[in-house]
Amino acid sequence: MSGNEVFSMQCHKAREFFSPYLDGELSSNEIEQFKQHLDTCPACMSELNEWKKISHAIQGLKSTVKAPPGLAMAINKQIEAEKKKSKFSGAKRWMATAAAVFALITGSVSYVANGFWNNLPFSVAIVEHQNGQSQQQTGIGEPQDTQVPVNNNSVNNNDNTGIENQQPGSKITPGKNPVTNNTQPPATPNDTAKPTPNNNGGTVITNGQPAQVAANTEEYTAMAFLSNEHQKTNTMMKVAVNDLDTAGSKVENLVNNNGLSFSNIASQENKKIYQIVIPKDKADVLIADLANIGQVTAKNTNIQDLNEQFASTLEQYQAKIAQANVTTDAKEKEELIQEAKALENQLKVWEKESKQQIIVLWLETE
Amino acid sequence: MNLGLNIFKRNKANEVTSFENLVLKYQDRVYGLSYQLTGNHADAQDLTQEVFIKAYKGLSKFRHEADIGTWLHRITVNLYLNEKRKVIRHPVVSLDNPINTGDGEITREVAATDGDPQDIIEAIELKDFIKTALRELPEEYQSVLVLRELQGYSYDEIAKILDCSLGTVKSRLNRARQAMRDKVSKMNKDTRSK
Repeated sequence: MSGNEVFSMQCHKAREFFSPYLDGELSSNEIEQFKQHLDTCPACMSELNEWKKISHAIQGLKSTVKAPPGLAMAINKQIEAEKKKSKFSGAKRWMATAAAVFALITGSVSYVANGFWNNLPFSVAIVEHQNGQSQQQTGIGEPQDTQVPVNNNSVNNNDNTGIENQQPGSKITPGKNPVTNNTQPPATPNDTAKPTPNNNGGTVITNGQPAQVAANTEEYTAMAFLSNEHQKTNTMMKVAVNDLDTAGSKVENLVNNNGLSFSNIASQENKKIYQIVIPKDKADVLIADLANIGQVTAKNTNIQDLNEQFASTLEQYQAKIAQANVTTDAKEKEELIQEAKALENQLKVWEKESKQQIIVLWLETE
Repeated sequence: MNLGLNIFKRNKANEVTSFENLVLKYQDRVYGLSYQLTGNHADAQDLTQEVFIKAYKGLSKFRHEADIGTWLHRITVNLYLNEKRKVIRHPVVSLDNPINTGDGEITREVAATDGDPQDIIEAIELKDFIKTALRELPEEYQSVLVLRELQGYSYDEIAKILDCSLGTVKSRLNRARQAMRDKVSKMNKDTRSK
């Protein structure tokens, strides 16, 4: 096209058809119109020929270009690397891992609690030993003589008024939490699998209030749970340290100095994970001390409010006891007591957890 | 393209093996377009790798509305356009410098034998000239020309690849060819004036 050419509007319109014409994208009507214009406009015809030549020239660049050898392998290697890249950022990864570790730890507690719940009160029992410590014992298939009657507070005992916590043989004191009967001698195989009636009419405290229900000659007493706040508090913290062994020793000293015990959950070349259970009121001080061991890179405290579920479960528990005490059907009574015992153990777990804080400490070399 | 879809379906079922197959099957197609767009092998390799990585990450977005090859080409063009790949690592053929054809240097005087573009092409195998002109176009023009002239896509397919309307494809191709025509015309003019 020379610079001297002046296009009419018709030529401008025709120019819009150049590309679609070359590419076969015009309708038959458009082709006809276009050709009519070309027949009368040598400038457009000449220009179209130039476009054709260039188009062919570009198409002449077409060549069979093959990917170089090794490219596919390089690509697949990169894709492998992509796969290995975590989907999580570093922080998220830590939180996810910590949460998983924590779930493993705390899950065991819940598992036990759930075990109680699942109609296993007789096979999963709290066995009270003479030293006053309770031991959770999974006991499906356990010999019956290792078990004690369902409600330890209502065990048939000459001194049966509820037993003061950790004080074998002591009398229950209103306002305190009666727990299991430590003075109860091991039950005989003949009387262990069913509740023993409380013939003594002992006073029982429930939430600080007497809650004794009489049913025939057998009486079952509800355990008292006195804590007002039920919260599960877990702290996960990750501390970067220079020397893992030195830091580990410091942790162990700190824990021992507080009269606590710890569990070493994981110990690897570059990391150590501890679980420390500590009374809630002492936790902050210990956490601050642990933070001084190295550089805290992540910390998360999770407080789970258990109040609502505790209250609801307590209500159910008390209702079961009340029903058990009024029923005259021995089988139904036994079932109700079993259910009550399951609820009681769940409440105990929550009560215990509410007074403690679990710290999961993750030491890692920088 | 049934074969492509089958591979893709297998890919979903058996991610690792089938994606490797997909790379093997489509690497030449992707590389070919990458080379046409970038104009050199180094950039083409980089672009091809990026395309497959992006495809791998975006497998879930593939909805079978196109065959895999077209989908991969769409990624190729988009990556090229978005990242403004205009790095020309190969020596740019310049009209002001002698052209090394491998059989000795050919100067512009050779090309000046005739003002007709086709003659120039014939005279000195002016593919490089066309390539140069193509490289110098804005990326949008270059892409649409490559898709049409070198890849042979229809307007409809180009519209899908570029995610634009048919009208846009028509007008953009027309403007791209006009720009190409102007460049070649200028080359001729410059050649003649020497």
